[in-house]
Amino acid sequence: MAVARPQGADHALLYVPGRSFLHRLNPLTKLTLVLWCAVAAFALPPEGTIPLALLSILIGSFAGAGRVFARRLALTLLPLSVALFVVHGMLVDHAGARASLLGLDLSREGLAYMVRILGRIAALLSGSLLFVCTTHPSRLLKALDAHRFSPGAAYVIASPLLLLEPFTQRAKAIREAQMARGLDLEGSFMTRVKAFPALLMPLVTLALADIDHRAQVLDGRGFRAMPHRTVLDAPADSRQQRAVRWAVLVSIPVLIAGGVLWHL
Amino acid sequence: MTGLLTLDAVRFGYDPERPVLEDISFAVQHGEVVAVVGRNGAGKSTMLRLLNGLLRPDAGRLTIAGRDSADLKVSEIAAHIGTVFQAPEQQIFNATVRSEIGFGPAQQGLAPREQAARIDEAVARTGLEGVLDTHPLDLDAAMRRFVAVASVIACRPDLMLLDEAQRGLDATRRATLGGIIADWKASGRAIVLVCHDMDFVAAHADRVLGLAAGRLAVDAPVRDFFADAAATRAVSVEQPGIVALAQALGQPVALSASELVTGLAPRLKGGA
Ligand SMILES: Nc1ncnc2c1ncn2[C@@H]1O[C@H](COP(=O)(O)OP(=O)(O)OP(=O)(O)O)[C@@H](O)[C@H]1O
Ligand SMILES: [Mg+2]
Repeated sequence: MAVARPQGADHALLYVPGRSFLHRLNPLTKLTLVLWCAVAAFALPPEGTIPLALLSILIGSFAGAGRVFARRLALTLLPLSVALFVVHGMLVDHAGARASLLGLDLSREGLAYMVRILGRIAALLSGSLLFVCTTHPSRLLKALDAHRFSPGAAYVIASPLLLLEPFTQRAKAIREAQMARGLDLEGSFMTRVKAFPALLMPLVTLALADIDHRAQVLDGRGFRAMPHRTVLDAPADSRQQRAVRWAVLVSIPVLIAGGVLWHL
Repeated sequence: MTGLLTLDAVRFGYDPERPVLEDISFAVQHGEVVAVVGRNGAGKSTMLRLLNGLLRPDAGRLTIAGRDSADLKVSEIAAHIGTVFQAPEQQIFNATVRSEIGFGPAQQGLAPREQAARIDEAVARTGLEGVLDTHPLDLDAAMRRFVAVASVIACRPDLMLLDEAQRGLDATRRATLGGIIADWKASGRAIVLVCHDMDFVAAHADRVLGLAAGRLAVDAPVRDFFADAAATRAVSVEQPGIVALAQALGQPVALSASELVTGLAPRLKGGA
């Protein structure tokens, strides 16, 4: 089926266009915060990760990418929490006290374990989702260039975002080619499930071939010829944001040390 | 007469508010080679995607082998219509040339021996004998194009769609492609080809469909189309060199060098 897709320069796969506070924040500040979130997700106890996740969900829904963000997060987190609940609350045979909830006989330890994992994943996911929803890959690249990151380093940091778009186009092209040669992707659920490996395998091999090709193209264009590139319209930055970034970066080792001590 | 393929007032837009194609009606008969021409973005590739069912008309009717395409799944249409896409290198997905060509016959549920026979036939036609066990991505772009053509031949559809299949081929490979087109036509099957190269159109097409501003501005036999300067201008194409030469010599439209020579023969004999 035809899916209309915006074709403007502003379009990127996960990016949600907007002018919120988060959109305007310098991409590097956001990147630093995401890094902090990722470390915190593992270092903090559930008492820390859950409020952190809630905070970023609230900010994301009301001051960031709004409904799109909330929907994407729900679509990922809800099935996951149901699965975790079933597996750890009911299936895995944890020793110790039982709890009863809505008439179900549940393992207390299993539930605690589930909350712990869920808190981590929620913190990690909401933070990074918020970042990709409010940051256009090209702005991230510009910010990295403006801060004199080497093109290689900038590319490594931004490439997952940049690769997504050609990757989905490639997936679409393969899907079309297979359907046009008779693969039934419009049939029942089961026929589609059966067709899935035929879609996935080529995508993975071709993605690898693409990355290889891309590296060659970049080299061919003298990608590393200059130590850094000059950016004319660098994303806005400020002294406060710089201070925040340093503070956040400095707090990361503290966070890790704290996490290690806590778990001892 | 019911054609192999019939379009009746078809309209389509990626954004339904802004149609890319509007009020398109034509039919394709068995044994016919039809060229679709028009400037970049005119909607040629979009039209091919409508013909093979990957896109569905917003309005109008598309009939394939007598059946309304709305009742057919893409996989069912695939039995009648095969497509060589504009960027076939993007669409190759198997690990060897053999499995790439065999994908369609396997989907059709043919017996293994029949599948092998289909692969052999397609390979012989496209000259891919030496590379059957190569990874398609290790071939050059032109060879990959022939892998895509072979994978359509192996499905034995009634109608083959070629989107810019001649682009970037050297003279030998153009001749191979021309031979495939001629054989296909001789066996009573049809081809719709999208092409910016008017020399190729003059050499291989019977009929020209010209798209301009989303509409079918031209539907004419290839000779009439090239004779009509207003028509070629309307769809922004240049006359092929041989046609321009014939006209400069005051001759009727010639579609090949030998045709032009035949036309000139009386004058040459007269010693003019
Ligand atoms: N997937 C898509 N989503 C939205 N618009 C599209 C899509 N594909 C093509 N278009 C638009 O539809 C119009 C027709 O495109 P199409 O690819 O059919 O042109 P074309 O005649 O094949 O051009 P070319 O000669 O460059 O191959 C163009 O304006 C194009 O930008
Ligand atoms: Mg095209």
